[in-house]
Amino acid sequence: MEQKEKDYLVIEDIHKSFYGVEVLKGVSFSAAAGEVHGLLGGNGAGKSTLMNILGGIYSKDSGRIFIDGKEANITDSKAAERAGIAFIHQELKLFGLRSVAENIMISNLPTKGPFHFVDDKKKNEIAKQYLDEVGLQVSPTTRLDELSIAEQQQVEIAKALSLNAKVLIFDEPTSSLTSRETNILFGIIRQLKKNGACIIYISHKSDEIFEICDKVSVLRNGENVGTRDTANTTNDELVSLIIGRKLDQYFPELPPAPGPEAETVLEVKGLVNKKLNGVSFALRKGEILGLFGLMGAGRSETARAIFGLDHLFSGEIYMEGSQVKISSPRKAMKTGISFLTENRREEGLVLNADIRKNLTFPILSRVSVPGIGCIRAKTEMSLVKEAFKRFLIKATGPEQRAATLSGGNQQKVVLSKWFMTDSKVLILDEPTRGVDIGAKAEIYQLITEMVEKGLSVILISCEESEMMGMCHRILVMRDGEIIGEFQRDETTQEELVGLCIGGKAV
Amino acid sequence: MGKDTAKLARGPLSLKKELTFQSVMLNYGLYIAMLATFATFAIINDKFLSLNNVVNVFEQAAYYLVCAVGITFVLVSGNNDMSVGSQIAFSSVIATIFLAQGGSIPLSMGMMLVFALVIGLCNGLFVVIIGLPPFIGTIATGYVVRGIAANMTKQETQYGLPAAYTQFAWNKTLGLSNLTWIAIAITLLGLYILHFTSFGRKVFACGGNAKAAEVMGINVKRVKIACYMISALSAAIAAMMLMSRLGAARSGTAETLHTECVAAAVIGGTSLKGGQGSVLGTLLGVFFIAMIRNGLNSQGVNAYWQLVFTGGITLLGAILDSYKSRANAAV
Repeated sequence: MEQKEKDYLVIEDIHKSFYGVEVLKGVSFSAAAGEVHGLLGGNGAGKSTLMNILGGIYSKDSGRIFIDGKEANITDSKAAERAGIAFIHQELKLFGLRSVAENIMISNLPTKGPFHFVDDKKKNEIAKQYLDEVGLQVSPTTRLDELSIAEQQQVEIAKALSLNAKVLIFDEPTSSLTSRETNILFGIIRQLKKNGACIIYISHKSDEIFEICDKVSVLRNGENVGTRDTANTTNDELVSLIIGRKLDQYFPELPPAPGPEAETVLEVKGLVNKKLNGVSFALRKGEILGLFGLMGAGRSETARAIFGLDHLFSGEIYMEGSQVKISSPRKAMKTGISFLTENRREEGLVLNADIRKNLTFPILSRVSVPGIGCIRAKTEMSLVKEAFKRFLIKATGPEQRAATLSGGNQQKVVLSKWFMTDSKVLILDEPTRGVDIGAKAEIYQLITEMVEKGLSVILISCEESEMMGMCHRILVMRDGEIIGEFQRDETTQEELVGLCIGGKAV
Repeated sequence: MGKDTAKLARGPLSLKKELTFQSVMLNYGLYIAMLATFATFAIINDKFLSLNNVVNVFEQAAYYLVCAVGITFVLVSGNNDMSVGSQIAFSSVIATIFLAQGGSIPLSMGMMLVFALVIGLCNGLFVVIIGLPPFIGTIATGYVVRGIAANMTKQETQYGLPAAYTQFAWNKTLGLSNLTWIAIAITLLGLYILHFTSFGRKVFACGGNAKAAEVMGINVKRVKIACYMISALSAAIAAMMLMSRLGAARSGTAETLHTECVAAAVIGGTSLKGGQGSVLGTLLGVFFIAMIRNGLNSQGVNAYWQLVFTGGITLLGAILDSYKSRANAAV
């Protein structure tokens, strides 16, 4: 308790729900001034949500935040700024066309005279001071977009300092930096620490956590499952904290894995684009193939490329042995591929439309009279009613608006929509994200049933338990490449996670 | 699971309970306003709600209804078309000159429809393919075509339409004027296409969530361009109706038509954000605005005040739309 009182930043029992799904379930942790506190956790563990609450982007449902012993009421980003909290974003939020000085001083530009003209001289002087503090050797008058990403990040740090920030949150700051630039950044962070700043460092990479952090907290499913001194912990311990206990009781029994003699449905060879460095694999009939990796590792990007949503520089796609050219989702659907995207609200549903319409958007040609396109209401309704029954959609009826459904039912609608297309290959990107546990189990059951009927599935997920519970075979991706292939019983969750975060495999 | 579902199921209901007055005003506010206005006019002027007057109003609004039905497609697809008034000016001026020199009527109509397809395609290219904001892209095409019409006519009114053309508007079939019948036919056609065909479904999908529509295999660009072409075609038909009714054409005609069409659509529940709306709503909106104008007219309110009034109604409709979508997002 005494320790707690000394801590500069104290977060107590924060709860937050989105659309009825609880993302933070009472997170607490604290960090002292002059400390670098790491924050680890899988995708969807709640790190970003928590930090957005600190930054005033989201408002918390309940819980308290103390800064320097005083309760801080952070209602918006201005309030966060006043409380001395600054956020160094993963994607920088600066004005590319303005000067470095202006970017640093934007919130409190010095003015002169009765008409409050901007005092350019003073502005540049003050900005220079902060630039020196972060060791960036550029003129304050340089246009921001002439700087490299790393330098822009330093500008953002300088901006935070100019706002007198005492709590600095770094959200995966090294994701677009070279190793040399990373070292410079770490130098700056150490300097900030020496000056008494309280630094929160979010990362996926365990080696960075060990290098720069004094303490590390691990979030899982919206809870803080453990805080450790980095000096007294190991990579293995962190991995097991990230994973937690196994939850395989939710998984149905899978149909037997198709052997090597089974027919290949989909094969891709050497897929290359901005995010992919040569991805090749084959999917067998009736198989569930897992694609595992962290966000940005190339899992979703592989799916988007196969489905014709992202452009391919090179690579070949074969469907049942013959090569196909897929330039748009329409072509992909014609060749028998369907794709459930990871963000159902943005890319899966037309939220304002009712369930009936959402279910039949991809199969309009089947429910309408060919040629004139008149919808055959009876045919449509019987298909929709069947989907309600078969895929366990719980709603007031086919006319309920998709926006008003729970996350789980929304996902079942999207899933049913793709099941109804009678595709040969279904790519599922995070099919259970933001879905409560009951619906999760139902979704797993539905997938298994469809696979028994001959559907082949590519399952993308960042939940290692889902990989182990639902896939016949697992491919691990990192930096746009496949770096490992396992049969389901050949690996452990620890090994998968270890491979992803780049530490040594257990 | 059970607990979560229960919580969610309660969500929207309890919201309704708390905000009874608010939600009623959001959903039915305009209809209440409409009824109140009608009642007021009916009290002041006993002929206001007479069958004769209503039929008359409908006939005057016929061309405007046709145009508004077309614009509804563009609005539901998530765009806007500011050029319809200018399109009417352009094609009516050219067709009138052509007809005054003895050109054939069917050929002039074919010409107008072809022009419409080209202008609609241009709007589509600018907005959908090049990605200009609809306000800029379609205003620009509007200026271009109206400018051409003004140059061709030196802004003088063009007369000389054949008698058969001008007579058409005044002939009646089964008690209603021909223009009214055309407007009814176009409205029914629009209703059928937007609400009962797969194309209509795609329009809703594209306007409601273009990204999702693309993932579902819908050719979003093609659908959105087609909506611009539908709007242009209906503007061309509206132009023919206007020519027939006025017996003349002028490059300065229909300058505020776009605003009125959008106002009518919005009043009828079409969202400016796309993905929501109905042809019947637009019909109602057109009727509402036309009736009120008629009421104001009969009270001797001048045209400028009527403009102020149209602006006010548009604003009211747009504000309600924006509140509604915010309330929807909050669920």
